[in-house]
Amino acid sequence: MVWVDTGRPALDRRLQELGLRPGAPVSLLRRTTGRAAIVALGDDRLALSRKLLRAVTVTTPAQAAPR
Amino acid sequence: MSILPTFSGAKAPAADAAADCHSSSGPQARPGSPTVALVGSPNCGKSTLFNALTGAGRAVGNYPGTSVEVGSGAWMVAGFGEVRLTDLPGSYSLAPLSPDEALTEELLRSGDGVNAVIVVCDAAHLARSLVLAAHVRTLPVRVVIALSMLDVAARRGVTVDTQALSASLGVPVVAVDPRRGGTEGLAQAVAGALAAPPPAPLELGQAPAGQPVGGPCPACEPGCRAGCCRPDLAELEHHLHPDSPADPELAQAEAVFDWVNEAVASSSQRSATARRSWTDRVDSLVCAPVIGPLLFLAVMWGVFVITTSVAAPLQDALDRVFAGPVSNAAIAVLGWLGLSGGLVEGFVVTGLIAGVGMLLTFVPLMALMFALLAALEDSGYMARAAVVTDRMMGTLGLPGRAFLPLVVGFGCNVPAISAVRVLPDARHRLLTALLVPFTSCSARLTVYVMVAATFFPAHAGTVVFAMYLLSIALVVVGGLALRGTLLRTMGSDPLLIDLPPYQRPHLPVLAASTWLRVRGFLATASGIIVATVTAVWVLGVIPAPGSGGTLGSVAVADSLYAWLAEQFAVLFTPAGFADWHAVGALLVGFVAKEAVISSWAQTYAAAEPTDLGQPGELGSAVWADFAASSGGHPQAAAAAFMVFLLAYTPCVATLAAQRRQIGGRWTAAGVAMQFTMAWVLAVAAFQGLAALSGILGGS
Repeated sequence: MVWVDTGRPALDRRLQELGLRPGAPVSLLRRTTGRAAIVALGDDRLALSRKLLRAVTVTTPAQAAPR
Repeated sequence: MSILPTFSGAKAPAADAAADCHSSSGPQARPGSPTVALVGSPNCGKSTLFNALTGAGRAVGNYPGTSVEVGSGAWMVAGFGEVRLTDLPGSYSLAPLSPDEALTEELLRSGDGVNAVIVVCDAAHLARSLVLAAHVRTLPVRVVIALSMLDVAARRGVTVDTQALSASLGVPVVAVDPRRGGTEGLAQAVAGALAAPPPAPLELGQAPAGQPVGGPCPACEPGCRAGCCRPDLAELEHHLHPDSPADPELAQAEAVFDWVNEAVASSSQRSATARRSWTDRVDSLVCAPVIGPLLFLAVMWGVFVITTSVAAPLQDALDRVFAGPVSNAAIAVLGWLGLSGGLVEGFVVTGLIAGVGMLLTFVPLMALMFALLAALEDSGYMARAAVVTDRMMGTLGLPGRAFLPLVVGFGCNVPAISAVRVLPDARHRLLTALLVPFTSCSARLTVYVMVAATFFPAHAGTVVFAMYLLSIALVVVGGLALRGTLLRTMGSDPLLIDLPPYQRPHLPVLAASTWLRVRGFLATASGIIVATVTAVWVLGVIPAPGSGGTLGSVAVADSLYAWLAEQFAVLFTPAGFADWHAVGALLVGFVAKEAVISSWAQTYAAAEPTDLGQPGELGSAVWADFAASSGGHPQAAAAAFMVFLLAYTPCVATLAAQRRQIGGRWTAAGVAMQFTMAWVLAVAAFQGLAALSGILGGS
């Protein structure tokens, strides 16, 4: 389960529009400069700042642990 | 803001419509033809489709009253006739985050004059694209979905059933591949849609909680993700944030997402989970913490070299053609007409031809810049560059992409200002376009070298280097000052970038976009550049009040040009160079910094130095005047002069480029800011250095 809460509803909405939604197959791909990171969402790749990464909560049900 | 023309032609005529931009060159649709808006998320192939549909008949420019770029052109729809196609800024949804997205939202929501909307959906990112499609479908407009990137999706093992998608959306869905032609299906669908009344809008988010939205749930199977079978998200929200009240907007957003999931599930199939292994491997280098920024610097160095040293010979050649054959031919023609040697010849050769020549020398530079930008953008590298530079540029409140225009500015400010279009947010484009003039271009370098060699012969290199350090400081301080004052409302958005897969840039698309932008630049810049160059010539031939000379046969010192420089000179008394020769050089420098040395030499009737490191008689003449105007501190005055030259308006071509990007009002505000900063810094430099030399000399 993915949950985003950046404190700015418009930004939350945008993250959801880009695919960070409950049920999305999300995984952290690699760290990049400035402590940002690239996140894999299925075939898509998103670069997120550290601040945004902190706003993303990922809960992993034991039977469906992400890769 | 609804100034788009109406279908019936009963409202505003097409002449003042959406893309009556600064560059309304190129053929446009006839007045009264219906308007079709093209929308889509970034990187969905929307602009390629726009180019393919409109061919040569299109123009790009800022939407009136904004610095948001829209494209417009005529599209011949087989079986219907001509329509005006408007390419609106890329948007992920109708919940805007930037001024560009807000313009798209505003134009679509107002609905005035938009007869139909083509939503370009990326089959490889179907869920993401359908968010926008769903939002547009909630509006009472005719909609046609153009499904692009089916080949990319197929390579990833994803197939999309256009029929099923069309059934979900309730509007026609047409597969398009603008890179290989084949847009007849889209034309047919648009013609059909325009002939019919708008379909009933989708109602999303109005259904009572817990009920399926967007139609009844198809036969449920295990694993169904349709709204009716999902855990209630409001419940989850309440569970995670017990204090937060139920939010109707959130509920509507959820309804849209549920509808999208349902539409994706019912219309697309995925045979394999293809990995983006190649792109991912490249990214592991390109976005790596240390190698990434180094690679970025290498790319920037490449862009800088190409826009300076590769463009330079082409520019010189053009310059020679205009100064030589073209001018000679004009002189010959005028001689044949019996107009040789007079005012007419001067006006044509020194005014008009020189002006057009200066304008055209920018063409190779701009073409290279636009082609490089398109290649960086199209290949997918620009998104990575934005990632690796984000933190550094963040201190200025600018995204990482702003680094590129600022680097290019050290070569020439004109293409640098055009390069601000890589920024997806109008506020960032504005701030960057206002900062670019503070980057010290190569034309300014020629003046530094001459002045430094004259006044600081032992430390000329250090002095020139100091000018570059000052230039960087001005960009940083200017950026912070602008953010604290004029652009205070500008928030700093955290890094959030979609990284598209790498691809080989498509040459025809690249060439078409380069030509379109060069043409737009010429349309905007030609008037201002030719007019200013001609105006300087005119000032030089009109005798000053009371000088007694006659029109066309005055010495430079007796011309209106010298008189005007003399009037302005008093302003520079506190900066130590209140001398008409120096101020006149700055006046010419406002037109073009390249012309400063030659016109300075002209005012002293001195030979233009061939080696700027050996200023010769021009150097001695300038030294003598600076010593007189500064009260014995010529070096302090020279330093102040260089500081002023660095900080004030680079040239009229920069202003033309700025006007095209950010509009006339912001350009004027920028000029005021440049002159204020330049004057304050020059006065501070002179007073500080003069006082310092007094202390050092007195001790």
